[in-house]
Amino acid sequence: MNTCRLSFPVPAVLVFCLCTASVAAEDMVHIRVETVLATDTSQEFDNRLTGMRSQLLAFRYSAYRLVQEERRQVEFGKQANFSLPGGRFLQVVPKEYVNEQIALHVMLMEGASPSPLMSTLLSIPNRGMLFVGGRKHQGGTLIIRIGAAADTLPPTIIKTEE
Amino acid sequence: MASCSHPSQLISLVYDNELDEARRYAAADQIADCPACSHRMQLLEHTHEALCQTLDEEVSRLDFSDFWPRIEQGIAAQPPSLASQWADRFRHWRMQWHAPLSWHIPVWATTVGLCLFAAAVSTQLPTSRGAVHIQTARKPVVVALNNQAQIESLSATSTVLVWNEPTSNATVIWVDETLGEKLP
Repeated sequence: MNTCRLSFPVPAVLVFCLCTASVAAEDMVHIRVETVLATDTSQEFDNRLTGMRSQLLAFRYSAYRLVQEERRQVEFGKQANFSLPGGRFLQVVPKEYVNEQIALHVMLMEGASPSPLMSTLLSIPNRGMLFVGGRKHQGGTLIIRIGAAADTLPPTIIKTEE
Repeated sequence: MASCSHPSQLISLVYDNELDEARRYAAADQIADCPACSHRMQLLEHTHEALCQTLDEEVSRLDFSDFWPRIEQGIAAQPPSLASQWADRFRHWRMQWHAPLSWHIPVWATTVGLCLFAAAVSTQLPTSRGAVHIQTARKPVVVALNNQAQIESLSATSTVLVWNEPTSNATVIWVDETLGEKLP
């Protein structure tokens, strides 16, 4: 009967899609990259950076300004690319998630050089973060915070998207 | 033209065939016997003929060959509103699926139940690469308190310093040729 042929595959497909989607969602990593320009030209502190004030003050600059924030959702083994100020390029590849630790391959590239300025393979806790800094930009220094979460990211620490 | 005592509407009534048979015959006799009425009748017939001829000529000049295509084009050119689009889609969907759905409500109920069960199970079983944890309850979302990274390898074409930021113990990788006094 025609109705049987129509109705049977639809529930099966729905169940399959739902299961596939839920499994796929668990295999994603949320990457957040926030780029801060630290200078000594003023005493200004960007209020969008309030959530990481105590961490930034350890760098002993007098002014901090958020210049960029990007988020990506990426599968394990796939790369997330971020363009940074000054023609720099950050590549983050989540490798695996074991024991609440996310293994990341982080590469910082600068200029036209094919070899990365810095390349590291490391593990950070789930919903943890890492700082990469030191590159000069517009009279200041870039400080890049890289956050990674294997589940949904918590409410943003700094409430901004530029 | 000679005048007559017959009512002027009589001519029109006879011409338009609006009288019953007996009256029509009587009126026709009156008109035939009255020169003035006969003249009026002739005038009315001539006027009618001239009018019909004029209208026929005008209509024959009109081009109706693309009448319907133009109407179709006009209808097609009118953009349907969003609401009507969705209403049409919903109507179409309902017509298409009403019969199968009505016959297979138990099947659909079972399917929805299975979907909900699968969703519940999948949310309780977060997978990690290489390991599966069975979690009895969702942990509250908190940012990691100890962010210290475990570095497996690190290479750079410039000078690199690594330390842990004191507040959250987050690892800092400092890539700088000129090691300034700004470092903690």
